[in-house]
Amino acid sequence: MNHKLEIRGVTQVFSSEEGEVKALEGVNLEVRPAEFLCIIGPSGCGKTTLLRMVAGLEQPSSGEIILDGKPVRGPSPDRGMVFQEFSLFPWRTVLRNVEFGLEIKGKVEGKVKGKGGGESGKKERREVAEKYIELVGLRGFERHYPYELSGGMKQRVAIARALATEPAILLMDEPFGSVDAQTRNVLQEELLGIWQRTRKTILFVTHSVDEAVYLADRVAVMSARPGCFVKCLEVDLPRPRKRTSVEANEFREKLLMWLSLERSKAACIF
Amino acid sequence: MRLPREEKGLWLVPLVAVILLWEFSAVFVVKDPLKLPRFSAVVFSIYALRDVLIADTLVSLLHFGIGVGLAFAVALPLAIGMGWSRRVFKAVDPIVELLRPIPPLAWIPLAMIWFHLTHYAAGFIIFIGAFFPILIDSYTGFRDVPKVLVETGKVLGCIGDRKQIRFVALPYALPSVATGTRVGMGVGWMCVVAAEMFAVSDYGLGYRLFQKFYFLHQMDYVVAYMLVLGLVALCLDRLFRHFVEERLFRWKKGIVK
Amino acid sequence: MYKMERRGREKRGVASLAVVVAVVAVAVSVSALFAGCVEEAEETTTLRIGYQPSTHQTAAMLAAEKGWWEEDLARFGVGKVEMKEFPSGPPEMHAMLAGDLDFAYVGVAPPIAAIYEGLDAKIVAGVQTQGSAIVVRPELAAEYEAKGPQALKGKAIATFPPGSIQHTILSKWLLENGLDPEEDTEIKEMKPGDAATAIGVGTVDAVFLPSPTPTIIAAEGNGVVVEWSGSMWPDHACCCLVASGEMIREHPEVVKQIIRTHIRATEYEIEHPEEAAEIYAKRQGADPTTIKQSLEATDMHWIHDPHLEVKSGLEYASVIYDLNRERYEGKGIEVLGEEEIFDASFYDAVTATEEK
Repeated sequence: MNHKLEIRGVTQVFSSEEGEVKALEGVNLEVRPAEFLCIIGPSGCGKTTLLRMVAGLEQPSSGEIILDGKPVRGPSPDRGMVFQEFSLFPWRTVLRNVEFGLEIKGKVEGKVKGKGGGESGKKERREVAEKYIELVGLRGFERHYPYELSGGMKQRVAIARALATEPAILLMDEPFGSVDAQTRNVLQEELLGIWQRTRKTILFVTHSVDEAVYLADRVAVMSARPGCFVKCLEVDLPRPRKRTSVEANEFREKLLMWLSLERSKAACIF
Repeated sequence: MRLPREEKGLWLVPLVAVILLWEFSAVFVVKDPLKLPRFSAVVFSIYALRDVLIADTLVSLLHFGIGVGLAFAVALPLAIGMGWSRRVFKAVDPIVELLRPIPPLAWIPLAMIWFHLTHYAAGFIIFIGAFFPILIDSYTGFRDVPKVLVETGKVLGCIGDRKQIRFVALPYALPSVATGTRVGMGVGWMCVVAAEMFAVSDYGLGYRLFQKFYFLHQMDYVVAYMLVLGLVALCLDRLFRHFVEERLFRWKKGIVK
Repeated sequence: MYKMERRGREKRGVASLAVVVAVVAVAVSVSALFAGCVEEAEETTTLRIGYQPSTHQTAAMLAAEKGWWEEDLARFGVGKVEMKEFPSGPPEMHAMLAGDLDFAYVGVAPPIAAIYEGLDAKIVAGVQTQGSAIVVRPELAAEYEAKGPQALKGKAIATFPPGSIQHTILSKWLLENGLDPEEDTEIKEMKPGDAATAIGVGTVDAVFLPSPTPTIIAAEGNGVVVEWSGSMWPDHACCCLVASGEMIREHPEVVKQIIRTHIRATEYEIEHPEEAAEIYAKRQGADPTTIKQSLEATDMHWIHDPHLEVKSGLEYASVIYDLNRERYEGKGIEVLGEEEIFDASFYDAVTATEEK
């Protein structure tokens, strides 16, 4: 099977006041196409760093990251990302936020091919953006500014924006960490709906076991620093899932056990 | 601007009170038109001077335009450099902080030699006044661009300093640039009298106040022009706020709340 | 809702109180300021004499350097004499209007302009006549030779501010020669130092200023003297000695002594011009040789009799009136007459007793 994303032998070392620190060591992972894969791990284990490396925002000290057969060198709209903090451009409306990636693409293509702008380009961009705004359930809010939106709505716009450029993979770094519990549950359900409709490959970082059990096809458990994967658990619960079912609890317990494993006792897999 | 009903026109009360106090003190307490010209005399002077007043105001606005326009044109690119790059900031900031406290007045002798008695000499003094507020507020705006916004831009394809500045940093910093420009305009206008003290032109509010009314001890005219200086500044400020800041600040209101 | 209203009302109460306190503080300080002004003027133990850095007023500086002011005035209870230098007449008169000067060596025109605006003072003695000159840039000298005053058409001329002797003489002379000072020339007001620089860098084409500036400019090679003021307005009064109204009314003996000392200094400088030049040069940081040259070149006469200045003084009063006609007519001000400008009684009293 062709993997969508491969992470091979990634190691991350950085210098700090205490000397050299290894954030990640020997990280391996394979992500299947259209799969929803969650990465969980204790605080500071490096899961966010790993995700940022997939996004191209940071470089590994050694190892490689390959998407669709091509190595990752830097950020690109090919790998969409949703951050934990609210990241909408406050000076742009919802519509203009979602259009952002398309606008940049248009400028780049315009330079290369001599087109991409102009009236037809604008119209296309608008239609694509409106489609994704509808997908995240925010039709009617196109002309609103971020300051007028609730936390949950902001993250939905962020998702729409990341999807608008039709990336090969969607990276999410605890995207629902800044909203309240109820909104969180609602957003999780909506995310699953979006995933099912778009068939995107999603790599989702969280430290909530509950969230991982509810969302993921597979859950990869990262050890404490220096981080590596110690377990990859298939969550074969049928969807739609019940958060409080017996089976869900079983998975929860297994994951918690793996999470609590001491670093010295853990063995990196793959 | 929508104000609650009790606050509409609130500003009129102290203003009228001050005017009445002024007239009263001038007529019954000070009784010396040189020490304190009457408010009514000052208002009459504005009327008496109306022809030359308009010409003077236009010339002062010319000097102001030259000074502020130049200040903006020089400060903005420098602010982008200083705000965006720590290295540029560290390299340039000491020079900026050295020059900043030098009062515009102190630049007059140099201005006279560099620009002779032209409108540019006056514009230069106003430039000195307006430049630093614009620079500092602007580079602060650029420096404060949140990292998450820049990274969001990157993952959406905004790669490279130029694109990042154009699509992320500049829009974010624009309200700060506007504030700096407004403050700079205020300081620049305050330099008009200094800028026009040395006969760079036959017209100008500062010129006439200092070289004509002062030397002929025409204190009611002096105060009249002082009022005009204040009123023009007020108008410039309000106009700027209305046309520029109301537009740009819509979204910032949401953040600051 | 009710609690918020009360809090809102409290806030407004505090804010209003703050404003009232601020206003009262301002009112109190302002009245203290004005009250202070009235009280201070009673003092006579320090006498303040204003003057300008021009060889016209060498008498003032000479008397100061030789300590004659303090010497002669000690018996009137004057402990200290402060010499205050001003770049030109109008600021000097402004200081006198504020009550900061008791006597002033100044051109005849500035006090007249100030008296129109309410200055309480009189001219009590003469100081000198003539003594200013037009200097043109070297390249224009030939043109002036050929065309005379017409050569100044369209040119920039630096001189003292309106209300000063120089400005008045220049304006009158231009008008007499068929040139409109406003339309045909650009008159720029500046101080002697600035004017010297300006003509040097070519910012202005000519200057019209009192000695020693014309000679200094010529000595530096930046200009050529083409016209002395005596040829523009013969025997025109230039500098005079002004006494404040308060001095005149409350300390007439001091006024008389000042005049006596002034006569002494004037006669001394007439007899010892070289020494006068040296004293001036030392005090003002100028080159003594250039100052001596200027005294030789100039057409000024040092005098002390105020009567010699009455005729041109009245003409200045009329010119200044014309320059400000609209304003004065609007205020019901009339052209000044001799009694409003001059008070020669002190001089007459002093010279009568000293007549041989």
